[in-house]
Amino acid sequence: MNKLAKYAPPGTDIRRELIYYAAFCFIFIFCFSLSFLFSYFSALNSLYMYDHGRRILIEGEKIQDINSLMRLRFAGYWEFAISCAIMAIVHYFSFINETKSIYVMKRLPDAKKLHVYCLTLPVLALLAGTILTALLMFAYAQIYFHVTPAECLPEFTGFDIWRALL
Amino acid sequence: MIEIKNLSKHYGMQKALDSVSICIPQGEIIGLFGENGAGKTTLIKCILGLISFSGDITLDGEPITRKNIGRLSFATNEHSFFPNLTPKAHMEFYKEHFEKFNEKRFFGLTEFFGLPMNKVLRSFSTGQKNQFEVIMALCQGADYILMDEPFVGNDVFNREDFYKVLLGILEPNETVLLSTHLIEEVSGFIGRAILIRRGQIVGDVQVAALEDQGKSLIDYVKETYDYRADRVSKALTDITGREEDNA
Repeated sequence: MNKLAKYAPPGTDIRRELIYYAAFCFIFIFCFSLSFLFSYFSALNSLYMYDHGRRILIEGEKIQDINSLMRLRFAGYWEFAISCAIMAIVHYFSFINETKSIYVMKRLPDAKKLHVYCLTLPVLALLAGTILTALLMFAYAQIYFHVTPAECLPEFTGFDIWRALL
Repeated sequence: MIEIKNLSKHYGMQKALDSVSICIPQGEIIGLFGENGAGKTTLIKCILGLISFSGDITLDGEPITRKNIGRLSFATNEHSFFPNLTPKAHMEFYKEHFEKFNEKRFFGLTEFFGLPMNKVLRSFSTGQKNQFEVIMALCQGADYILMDEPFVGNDVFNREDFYKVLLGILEPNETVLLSTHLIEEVSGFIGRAILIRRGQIVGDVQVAALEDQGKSLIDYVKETYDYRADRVSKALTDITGREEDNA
């Protein structure tokens, strides 16, 4: 925590800021992406029919391909990225709002310090969000390929990340 | 020496500084006087490179950049400290960024003014905030200390204390450029007075030279500004219609 404080505007409550990023990450990336699981399990269910309470795989039925199931499930990543950009702007304004500590920042011999203070935490958070997005995509792909009966998987032509994001 | 040549600054169509040229040598205490909006703050901000301008400002012949900006410090009534940091944390911050930070002076001054070291600046009174602002400017280790109305909100005793401390602690190589309205208060310890009006330098005088002429600084300022001593009584007469009472 103390090490991180060196990369944030002086006086920043690092703990509170980390909670913000974690909350943004949870809401925009994790919660948004959960809709994939709902769609997936609904698609998985549609592979089966029920006969006197017994679940039977419909012969020849194929599950939707992963790219169409994943479509827009990670669009929340962009909201998260925007939140990080807003935090960078909030950092900059923290040097102007209550006092004009921007005058000290502009007089520091190290010209990069202002950028470091404004950008480091948002960029690190964005990096963490990107890693989380990649891990969730990987986890969902694992679920898709390992939970779906092999004979119901359509031909895999490659994973389209942009379709998941945009 | 800070050398300012043909410095001009416009805010839109409005001229804030008009071809200002002055030299500020090391080791002087200079008062910068002028009415509100005369251009005092703009001049100081131009020297510090906080705003854009046209003209030349050099420090010992070199343009003022990040390389030599550490030789200038700034105390402003807008306050430039970090409100969520304690004085102790400010000291650490300044020590990290300004290699000549004067720790001994910092402890001496914070103790003299009784400022709590472990309270965040936000919780300080206005007077304490002003004191701290000036302390940081004095302790940065700068050769040129620029102050813009630093005592707004401080009581007269507090200001007196500060003037005495200022005179006592300054090293011969330290220069103070003090922008203030408190002409009479500072006249006892400044060596030179620069008068600015509507963005132009209208007076630049050594206080000792004034004394030799038997003039006080306030008289010089009034003279330079064409101050009409009778304007108050005239106005009161116009308003009340009672000439004798207002005389």
